[in-house]
Amino acid sequence: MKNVLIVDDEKSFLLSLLQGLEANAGDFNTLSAPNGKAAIDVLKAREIDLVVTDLKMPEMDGFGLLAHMSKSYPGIPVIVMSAFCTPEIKAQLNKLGAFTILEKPIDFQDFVEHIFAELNAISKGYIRGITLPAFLQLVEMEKKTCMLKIGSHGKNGVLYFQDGVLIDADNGADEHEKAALDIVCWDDPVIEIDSQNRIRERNIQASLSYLLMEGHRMRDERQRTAPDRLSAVPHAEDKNVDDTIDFNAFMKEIDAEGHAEQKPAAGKSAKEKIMANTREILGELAKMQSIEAVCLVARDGFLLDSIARSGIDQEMIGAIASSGFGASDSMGKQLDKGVMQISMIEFDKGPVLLAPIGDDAFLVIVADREANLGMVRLKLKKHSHELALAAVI
Amino acid sequence: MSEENILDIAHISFLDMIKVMITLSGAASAKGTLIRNAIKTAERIAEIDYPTFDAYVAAIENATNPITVIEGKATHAGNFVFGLKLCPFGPSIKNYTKVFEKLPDGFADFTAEFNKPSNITDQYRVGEGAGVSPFCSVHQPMRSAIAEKIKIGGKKIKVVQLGCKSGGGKKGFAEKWIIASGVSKDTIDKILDNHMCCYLLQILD
Repeated sequence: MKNVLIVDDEKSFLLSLLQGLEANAGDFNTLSAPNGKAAIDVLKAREIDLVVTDLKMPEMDGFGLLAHMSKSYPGIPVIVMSAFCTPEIKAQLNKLGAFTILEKPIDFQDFVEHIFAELNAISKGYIRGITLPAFLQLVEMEKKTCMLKIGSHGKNGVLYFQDGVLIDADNGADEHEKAALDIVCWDDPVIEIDSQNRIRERNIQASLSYLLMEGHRMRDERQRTAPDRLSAVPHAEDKNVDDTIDFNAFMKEIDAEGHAEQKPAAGKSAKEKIMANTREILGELAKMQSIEAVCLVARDGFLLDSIARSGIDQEMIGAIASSGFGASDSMGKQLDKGVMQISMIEFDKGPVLLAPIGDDAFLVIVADREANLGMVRLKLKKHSHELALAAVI
Repeated sequence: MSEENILDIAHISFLDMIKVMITLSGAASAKGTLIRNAIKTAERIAEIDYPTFDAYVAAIENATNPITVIEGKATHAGNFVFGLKLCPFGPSIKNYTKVFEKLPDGFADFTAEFNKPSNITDQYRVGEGAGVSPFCSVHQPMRSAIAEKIKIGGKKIKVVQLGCKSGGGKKGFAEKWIIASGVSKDTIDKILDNHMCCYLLQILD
């Protein structure tokens, strides 16, 4: 029979969970521990199939336990209980495919269903261990101050958090944002956590979510080998990218600009530069022979920018295309076809292409029958990274 | 059978339709469709100019204010901050959960999508944490869009969403708009103790 270890320092809460789970005694054994240190003792003594842990505990908290598990028990699935979980964080962690997070106060029925779901996943061979992005998001969510030493396949790095904000990083070769962008993508991490409060200068301005997104995007691009696939975001070292926009500098500038509608008039803002560059790229695509419209659309269907011949209602195209793009994407997910590369609809008078641009936008290209679609794809591959910026500003 | 037991099928089917939209074309597309629909509805409201702010508030009291007509009576809590006592989607939620106990799957993802930064939520100063259910993506932009049809003393007004509360009592705060507006979070929190929705009205120069 499978063993479930529940770790929480609130005695009455723990007792009520254990009493409630007695009804499932025929399905799994339940063990308990009052803190991370005691949980490690249980992990050493017994074969545990699932750990359910709180984060705030004395002696060794949930972070310490998760860090230890990343090294010694990386394959054991974890359910985290937290009082600070928002639907956004929950959705992000679910998206990362990492541990399940349950919001306190716990809905008992929901709690039991998640335990069964995790245990069934083990039976089917699915492994949902601790991933670094999920761990980092927990640190951010709980506003923790700590130093994380990360090891992964012979590499070592350090991430510094102050009140949940990633303020600095070092991977031996690089420092600050460059190091952070590298470390956050490391697989099979071994995490050591030091919660001593040390004052340190903030050398990273970008948000954790940006670093995770951009770091993984850069890594995916490095790993992408198939030359004929439409690239959502080209390699960060791509000359075309570096010649035009420094992504990190851009994000810093956007952060510095703060909230919308507050930019002073002196010089072009980062947003204005991005939008000007976007317009140039759309212009380049629209100038191609037999192209009738090029619309950059947020995934919610609202236009970011577009160029079209007269007679085409671009706003309406964006709205309709959002449903079409979303339907294609849903179809891929339903059929487990992986990440959508491009969707093409053929009409008597020519095709309409829908191409993902980053995670937040897509491009609609309306063409006639004479259009050179191979050239369109090449240009998309060349510029999609820059176009993706327009969707995140 | 008592007439009270007869539910409005529009309430039931609207909620299920949102779920179908999410399933068929994703949360982002569904969100866009609902926001677009809300804005289009607001565009059909006739323009009106109130001579003073007091006249604007009086129009809320006598339920002739276009925003009130859509969402119900709001309370002016001072300094142009308003609290809305009841969620206009409350009856729909109540009707639905009366039959099916809980709201459809996918609503949490949809709400997270609405709270993500986007051009359209920036334009209408909504979301950014103030969404507590998919209905907020209809209600909040619609209110902001209706505000664009209203003037006070010949000056345009705009609405800034500050916070919202779910039927279960969970509060959502629009951190970005709270900072931009300068209204204290404590004030909003207190208003939400007794209201379901909280927003700021700004009279533009």
